[in-house]
Amino acid sequence: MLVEQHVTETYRVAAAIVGSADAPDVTQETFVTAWQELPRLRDGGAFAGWLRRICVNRSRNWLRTRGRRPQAVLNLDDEAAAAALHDGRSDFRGAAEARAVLEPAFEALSPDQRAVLALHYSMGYSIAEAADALDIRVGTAKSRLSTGLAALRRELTEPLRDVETNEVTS
Amino acid sequence: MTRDERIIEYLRARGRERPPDGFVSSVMAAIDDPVPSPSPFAAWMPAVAIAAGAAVIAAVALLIGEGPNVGPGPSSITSSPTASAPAEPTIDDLGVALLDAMDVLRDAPGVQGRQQVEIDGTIGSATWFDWRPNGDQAVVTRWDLDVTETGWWMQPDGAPPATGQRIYTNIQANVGDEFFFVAEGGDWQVTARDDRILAMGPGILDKSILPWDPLMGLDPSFPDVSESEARIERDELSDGGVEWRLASKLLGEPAVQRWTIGPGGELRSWTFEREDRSVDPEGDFQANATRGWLQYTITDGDPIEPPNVDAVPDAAAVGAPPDLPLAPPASLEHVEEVATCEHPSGRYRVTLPEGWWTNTAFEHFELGEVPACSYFAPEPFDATSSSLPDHVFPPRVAVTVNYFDGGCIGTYLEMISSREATVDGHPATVSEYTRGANEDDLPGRYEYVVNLAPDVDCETGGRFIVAATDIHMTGDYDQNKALVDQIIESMEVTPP
Repeated sequence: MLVEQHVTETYRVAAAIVGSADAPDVTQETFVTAWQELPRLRDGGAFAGWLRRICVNRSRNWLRTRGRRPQAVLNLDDEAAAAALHDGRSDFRGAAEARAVLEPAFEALSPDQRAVLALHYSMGYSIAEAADALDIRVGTAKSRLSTGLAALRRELTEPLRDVETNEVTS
Repeated sequence: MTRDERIIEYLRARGRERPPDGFVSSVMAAIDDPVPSPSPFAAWMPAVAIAAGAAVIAAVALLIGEGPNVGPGPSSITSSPTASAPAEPTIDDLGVALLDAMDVLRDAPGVQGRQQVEIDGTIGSATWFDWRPNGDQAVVTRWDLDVTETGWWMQPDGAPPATGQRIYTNIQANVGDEFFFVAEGGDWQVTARDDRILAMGPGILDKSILPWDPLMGLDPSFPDVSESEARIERDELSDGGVEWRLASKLLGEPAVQRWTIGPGGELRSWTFEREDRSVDPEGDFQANATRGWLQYTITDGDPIEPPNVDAVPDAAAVGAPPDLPLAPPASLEHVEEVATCEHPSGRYRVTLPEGWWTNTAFEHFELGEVPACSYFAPEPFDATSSSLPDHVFPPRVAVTVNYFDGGCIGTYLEMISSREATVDGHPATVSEYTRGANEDDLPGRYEYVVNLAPDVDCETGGRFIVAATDIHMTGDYDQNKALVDQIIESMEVTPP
């Protein structure tokens, strides 16, 4: 059954782009749209990619038209989180801090930047595959990845030179 | 954990979400009853509103991706209106008329299209395509990157920083079971047609009329679209055709779209125009375009020939007309075919493979001063066409060598392998990285980092030579790796 076969992947794409709070709605929109448009799909073997593109477009439209909803950002003042941060599990602390800082930073990115970061880093697609799903050029995808990552880096303090973006300027 | 590792881990965690229990049933229920469930679908627009929105967005959405193309615009309504139709047309009437007109195109033996988009007279993109009903097609799209990507339109009285300097050309063709495209490096690539996204959809013809595809929904670039404000007119033309006009507001300013339908019922052209525009700071070039047009011509449908993949790719190879605007610059300035070259810092000198080219020093409008002996290619290349952040090297370049004075060297790519080496007596690290940040990614970058100041804290006094190739450069990646080795073997290093 098509829904069962593709729902997890579709949900993951939606969650990676819009966040877990809105992922159910976006996933539902995706499948309803796909169902309505299915007769127009002329290559049945291309269903997965076609569905992915619908999901990406729905996710971007969702972000643009619904605005940015408050997400469940980990609050470092929260009692449980504070306790966890002091229990000596440094990995958890690092992850919690990063999430607390990166979540709002990620949500402040443009829908297009969020989408390409989500497809490439969250879903593991190659840049070319992400570009295909977004229907943009590879160069544009790389550009959005670069600017999106740069925005996230600014929220963390550790300095790091990046060969990819400094190569010619030295 | 480094900063970049934390970022990547955070992003990966976003992709590990799972749907809640019972979610499949919920989706199935939504499919069975898609209309107004209270939450997500309540906001769906009724069909009429979708049509209204889609009609308005047609203006710009065309420009997205491979659209159609160029030439003298279809201001060019060759016939003049004669008399208005008696009944007041509606948005639904317009929608039906256009869908019917598109079906006529789909039934034609062949269709050629041209499209152009501009802001205040400055052309940003131009496309030409040739389509057959069996799915064969050729598409050429050109963008002026300075016009479309620099955001100049957001400045009052702004003008693009340059025009005609960074023309990006995309050439693609579907012929039979094969898909031909020009890779980023500038060479022809051939793959199975089904592997490509272009082959997955109905093709360029439908893509060029994508604004009418409900999949697009209401393009949020046009938040001010109001069905109640839209005014629709229909005029019959002297040649038996029909012109439709849709006047509405985009971003608060009046905009007019015109469609002409030929006497045979075929969609002939679409034009979008607006004058006193407001700027959408969130929107890209397309969203802020002031004029766009698209025209279709029915052809005899002669077979589309596959391009000669041994020839240098150009638009003419797939049949594009010579008057396609935004011709790429053919400058060979700032490159030379030499046996050896030396970086102006004096830190390295290399011997090039026979017949190879490198760049001379030049001032790049975006990158600033680009030192000589940085780019290497087995053929002439346009050294000036590199840009940040899209490309750190020009098309056709296969290897880069750079000297870094100050700072450390790092990357967000995942390392596959690394070994220590010596380059002209200096310690070096030879590493290969993945194409992206995923451990299971294929190899994508191969580089030598030669440390000229190994006893100094790199944060304060690092000096490095980096010679590299990556998957985005021209040519075969493995062959380029061997060429990096060859160039490194020839390298004479002079420490500071």
